[in-house]
Amino acid sequence: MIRYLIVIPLFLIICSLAPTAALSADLEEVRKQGVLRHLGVPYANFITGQGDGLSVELMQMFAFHLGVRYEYVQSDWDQIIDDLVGHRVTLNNGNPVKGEKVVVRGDLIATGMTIIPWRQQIIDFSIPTFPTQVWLVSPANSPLRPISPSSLAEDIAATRKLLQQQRLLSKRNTCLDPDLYPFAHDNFTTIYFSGSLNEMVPALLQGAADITLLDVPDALVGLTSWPGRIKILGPLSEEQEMGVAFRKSSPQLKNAFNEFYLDLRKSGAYRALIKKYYPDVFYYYADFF
Amino acid sequence: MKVSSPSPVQNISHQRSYVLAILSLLILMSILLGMNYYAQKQAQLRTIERIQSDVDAEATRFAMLIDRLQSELHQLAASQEVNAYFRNKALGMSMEYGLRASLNNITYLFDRQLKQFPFGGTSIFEHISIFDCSGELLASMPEPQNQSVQRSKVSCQEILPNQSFSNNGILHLQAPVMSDNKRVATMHAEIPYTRIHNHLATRISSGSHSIILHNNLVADPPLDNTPPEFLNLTTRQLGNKEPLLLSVKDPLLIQIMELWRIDHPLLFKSSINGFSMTLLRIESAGDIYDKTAPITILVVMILFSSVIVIFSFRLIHSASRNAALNHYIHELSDSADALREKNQEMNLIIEGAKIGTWAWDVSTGKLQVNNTWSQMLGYKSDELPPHVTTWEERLHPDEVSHVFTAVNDHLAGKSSIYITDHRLRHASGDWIWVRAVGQVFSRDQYGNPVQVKGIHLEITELKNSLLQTEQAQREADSVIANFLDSLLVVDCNLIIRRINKATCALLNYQEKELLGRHVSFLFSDPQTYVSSCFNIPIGNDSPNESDLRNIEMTLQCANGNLLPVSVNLARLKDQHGKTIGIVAGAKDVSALKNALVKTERQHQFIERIFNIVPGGLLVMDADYSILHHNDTYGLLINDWCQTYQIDKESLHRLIQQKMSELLPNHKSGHFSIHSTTSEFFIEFHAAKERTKHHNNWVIYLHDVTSKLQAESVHRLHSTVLEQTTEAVVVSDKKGRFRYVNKAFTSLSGYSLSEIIGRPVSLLKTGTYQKSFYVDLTKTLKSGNVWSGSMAYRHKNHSLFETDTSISPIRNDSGEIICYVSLWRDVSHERILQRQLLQAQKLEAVGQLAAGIAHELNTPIQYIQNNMSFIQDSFTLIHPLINRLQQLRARPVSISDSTWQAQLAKEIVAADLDFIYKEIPKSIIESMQGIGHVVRIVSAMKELSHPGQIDKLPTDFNRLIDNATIVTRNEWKYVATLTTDLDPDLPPVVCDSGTWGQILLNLIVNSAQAIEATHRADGALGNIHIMTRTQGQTLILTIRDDGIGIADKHLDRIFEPFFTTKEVGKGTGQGLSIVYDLVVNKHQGQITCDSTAGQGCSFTLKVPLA
Repeated sequence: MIRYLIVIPLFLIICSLAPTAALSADLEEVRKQGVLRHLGVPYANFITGQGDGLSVELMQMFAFHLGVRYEYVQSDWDQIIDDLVGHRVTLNNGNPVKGEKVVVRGDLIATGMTIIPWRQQIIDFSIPTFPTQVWLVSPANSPLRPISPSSLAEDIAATRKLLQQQRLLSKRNTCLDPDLYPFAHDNFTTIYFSGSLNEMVPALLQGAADITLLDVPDALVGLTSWPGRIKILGPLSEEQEMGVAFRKSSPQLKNAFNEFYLDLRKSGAYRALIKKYYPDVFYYYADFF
Repeated sequence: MKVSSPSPVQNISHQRSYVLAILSLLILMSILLGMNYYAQKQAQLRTIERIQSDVDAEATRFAMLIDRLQSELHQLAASQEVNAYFRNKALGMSMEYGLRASLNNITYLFDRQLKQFPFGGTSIFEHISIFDCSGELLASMPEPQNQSVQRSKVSCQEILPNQSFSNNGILHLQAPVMSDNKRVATMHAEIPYTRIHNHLATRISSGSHSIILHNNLVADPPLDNTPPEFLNLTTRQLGNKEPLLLSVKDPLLIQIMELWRIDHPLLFKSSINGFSMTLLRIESAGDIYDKTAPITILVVMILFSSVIVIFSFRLIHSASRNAALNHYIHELSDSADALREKNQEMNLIIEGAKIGTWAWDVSTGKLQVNNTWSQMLGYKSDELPPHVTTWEERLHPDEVSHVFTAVNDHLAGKSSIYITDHRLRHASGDWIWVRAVGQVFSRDQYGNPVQVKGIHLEITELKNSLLQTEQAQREADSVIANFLDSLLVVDCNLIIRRINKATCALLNYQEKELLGRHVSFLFSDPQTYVSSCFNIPIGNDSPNESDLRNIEMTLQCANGNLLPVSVNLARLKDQHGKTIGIVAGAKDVSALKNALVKTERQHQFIERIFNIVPGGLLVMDADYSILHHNDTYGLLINDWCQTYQIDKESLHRLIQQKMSELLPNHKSGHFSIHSTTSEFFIEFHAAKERTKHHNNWVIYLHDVTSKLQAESVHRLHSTVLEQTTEAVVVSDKKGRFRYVNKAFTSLSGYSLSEIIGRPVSLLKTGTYQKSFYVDLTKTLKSGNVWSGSMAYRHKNHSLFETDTSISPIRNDSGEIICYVSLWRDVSHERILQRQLLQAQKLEAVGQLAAGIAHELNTPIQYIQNNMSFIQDSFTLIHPLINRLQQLRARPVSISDSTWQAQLAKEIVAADLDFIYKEIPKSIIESMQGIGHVVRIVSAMKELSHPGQIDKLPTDFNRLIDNATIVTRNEWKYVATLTTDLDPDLPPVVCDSGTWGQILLNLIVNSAQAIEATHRADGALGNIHIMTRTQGQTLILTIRDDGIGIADKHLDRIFEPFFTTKEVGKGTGQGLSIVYDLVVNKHQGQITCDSTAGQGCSFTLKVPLA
């Protein structure tokens, strides 16, 4: 009898705690914990590494909107999804596979992450927050000539021809991985870069490869940081979009962000943020904004 | 007292002063008026100059501002953003893919430029844009509101003067954009003149109005219908700096006058340098250019001044007349008062002096007298008849004639006043003496006297006194003349008034020769002395009687003989006690004087003897009381008291006490006296003077403190000299030993008797060059101290080394009289130092041994290979040689085919052609290898040779070559060693072994410093060795780009055992030994210049000889 008196309350307590554990770090949990943990990697002007950036300011505003404290958690491109979902995630034939458990370090990812199919299989993305595209970039003194623009499909085809026999600088687990695109099997040599995305242009200029993939935000930063030293050869992908990533188990948090984001756009504050960090993007993707 | 009024003469002088003052006032006012006019004109000119200067300054600022804006536009055109766009475009980038971003960067650049507010709250640029060569607008900020400006009329081919133009109040600036030396675009900026003007307006005085002409068009302010006449006017007439007064008929001027409300515009002009612009300033001429104002002020001032002068003149004239009138009135009043006072005074005098007055009417004989006259004769006033006969009847009969004569002479006008003394009969019958004084007061028209007035003053008592005095005088003259001793009388001026016969006889003068002379004439004594003796106070002060008695003086006779006399003086006084002269009586004392003089001379002689004794001489009685002492004793006492701070009484007491203790037993000796601060010594010699009346001591004292102290110091010096461990040598100017101490005899082996008087060269070693001794002698003769190391030869012919210091000794006149040498035996230290040096050198060479062995191994290897080849070759040709030897032993015909075939076969077998070709090469290579080995070994030998004391002329560059060879293995893997050796370097007098060690240390240090940098790329460092000469100095620089030396270590690198190298890499002795060798052994300098991480440079400076 006494044994039941002990076991039953214990069972009830465990049952009451179970839903909470399942919804860990969803909206209510974030509010309960009083902190929004922002996973990010210093990249272009999304996260400058100096305490600011488009994503940083956006998440700070979102945390303020939620009424919680903002906390930045730095990760890297190889494990940022692991840090969000709490599992080691690997790709198997282009499909993500959850592996061993790891510590969940953040509640969302906002770092200029491109929405690509395999990522969507394991994490949810918000409404697209930023347009992007993968461009092919070479040093200014490269013999390769930029394409003459016509239609996007013809531009991509013309750019793919430039890949022939070249050493292409790429980065795994990012949108700059050639395996994600149709040109993956063209005649070029892939050199996977071990440094950060921000270091790809300097590596290219130091001769680490003949050409490199860059997404539009990074290319725009590169044109500003290395004026006259690099040239954009052409596009290698359709237009893409970036968004804020959430655990599949955080739909409320995602919805809360989507609502917040739409309001922000309506108010014009988001446009001001974009103009602050990526003023050129309006000229390229006027429709998006 | 009355204040006297100015006289008429004074009034005239005052009037002159007034006139002068008025004239001065006129001149002053004229000057002031002139100055005022001049100042007015100058003020106008300065105002114009100031405005022109302001306009010029404004134009300069304007030009500077436009120049700056133009410069900023050029900077924009050359900016990285603009350049990047055209480069990207040239690379073929498209707007869709990247080029748009580059263009946007230009836009942002323009935006940033516009947001810079260096000129206040707004950007000075209105608009910045960039057009390509087709005139297409590429970027613009602010963005254009209409599409009409999308194309510019300016293309790249157009050449723009000054790259600026004006339009509608806007200054347009342009700058070419260049890319790859081609003009690819044009930068364009628009700046409203008004904005420039507003910016500069803060520096322009308020109320000024400016116009800017650009290319002869009015650019600012915006005026409608700019008439060309105005422009022609300004360009034609404003060719100089003079301001221009514009015509009011000018239409533009009318517009300007209406705009700025200016009545008489005055135009100033200044060109804006570098641009086709002109700045015009319009000022109101009425404010600064009124020519009539100074003249108007001048006329008003003159009129005002004239009125003031006329008014002043009239005022002064009236004042002068009033002053003269007042003066006259005052004079009359004063005269009346004076007369009244005079009468009162006269009556008072007459009555007070009991003067009888009389008035005689000559024509009637009536005589009016006063009461005093009647009373003087013993009558009442009315008892005597008022007639002149009253006076005539009472005249003394003896005086009637001369009285009447005097009266008649006066009445006849022969004398101005009548004065005579005569007697009148008194009522009592006695005769009284009167003094009569009269004068004619009026005469008739013929000159006859009418009225005579006068006075009679009774002088009976005076007359009686005179008679008595004359009698006394006669009696005194008789006494003086007949006095037996010398007697003379002088007056208060010391003039001889009486002198008796005895004196005249004594001096052999006549009385008349002496009377009237100064009394000093009689004496041979100085006049001052005589005068002082006779200078008795004239007043009632009584002199000391002793001063008037027995005064010793010397009379001088007419024949020159001197007579000592004793003079007594007495004062002569009148009845009032006043001194009127001196009576002097003189007595001949020549005999007595002679005796006294002789006695005095003897006394002085004794005193001189007493005082010239060079010490204190004193006489003490039996109780040791000091009876007498000489001056020297007094001086000694004073000197001792001051020197040893002891009071005089105590010193006397101490001396008396010492004498009382010592004299009973000792007649000579010395004793000491202790003061509070020190002790001093007195030597004494005493003798007893025995007479009938007393037994006195005569004692001689003198100070022997210095003498005793000197003896003590001398004994100490002698002891020090004899017992010091350093050899002390005194030699004379001829170089002969005059003194040596014990240390010298033990050091040199010579005894004192053997060395004194012998030449110093006895100890010469013969190892020094002549120049060494020449330099030493030169140094000493110039009066300087020579110091250095020197070796000498022992009596047993062995050498000993010393640190020697030789000093010249001079006498009081500065002449060198001898030389003092101090020798410190350092033989043992030198041996140890050389051993240490050699050990360190061998250690350094030993450390290099492995490397040197490696260096030797390479040539020896190929020498060995070549030798093996030669050996093999000999084996191959050996059969051929045997064949030839057989031929010599058994000659065969050269045409023997068999022999020829065998010979040919053996030649082929020996491969003779190959051997013939290769052996010489092998030999040459071997010789080269041997030469390399020889060079290394030779360098080793030279560098590791034991150090020499003597420095020899050395090929310093060769030393460096040797050092680089020996250390090659140390640096060749880490550095490239280059040398820049002075080809004209003269032979350096040095110790080559020592220098080899220095070079080894420094080169190895450099190699290790480069090795310590651990260059990741494997690049070699650099060691650079350079020699140069500067005058008589060799400069050696060894520089490396190694790890360098931290600042905190730089001050310690030359300290022994200080090292920053890893354990086992260095002992810390290398640089300290280098320092010792360079600085101490070669009298050189060594400096180190280093920056941590960048390398190190050692600079060594040593004398060439």
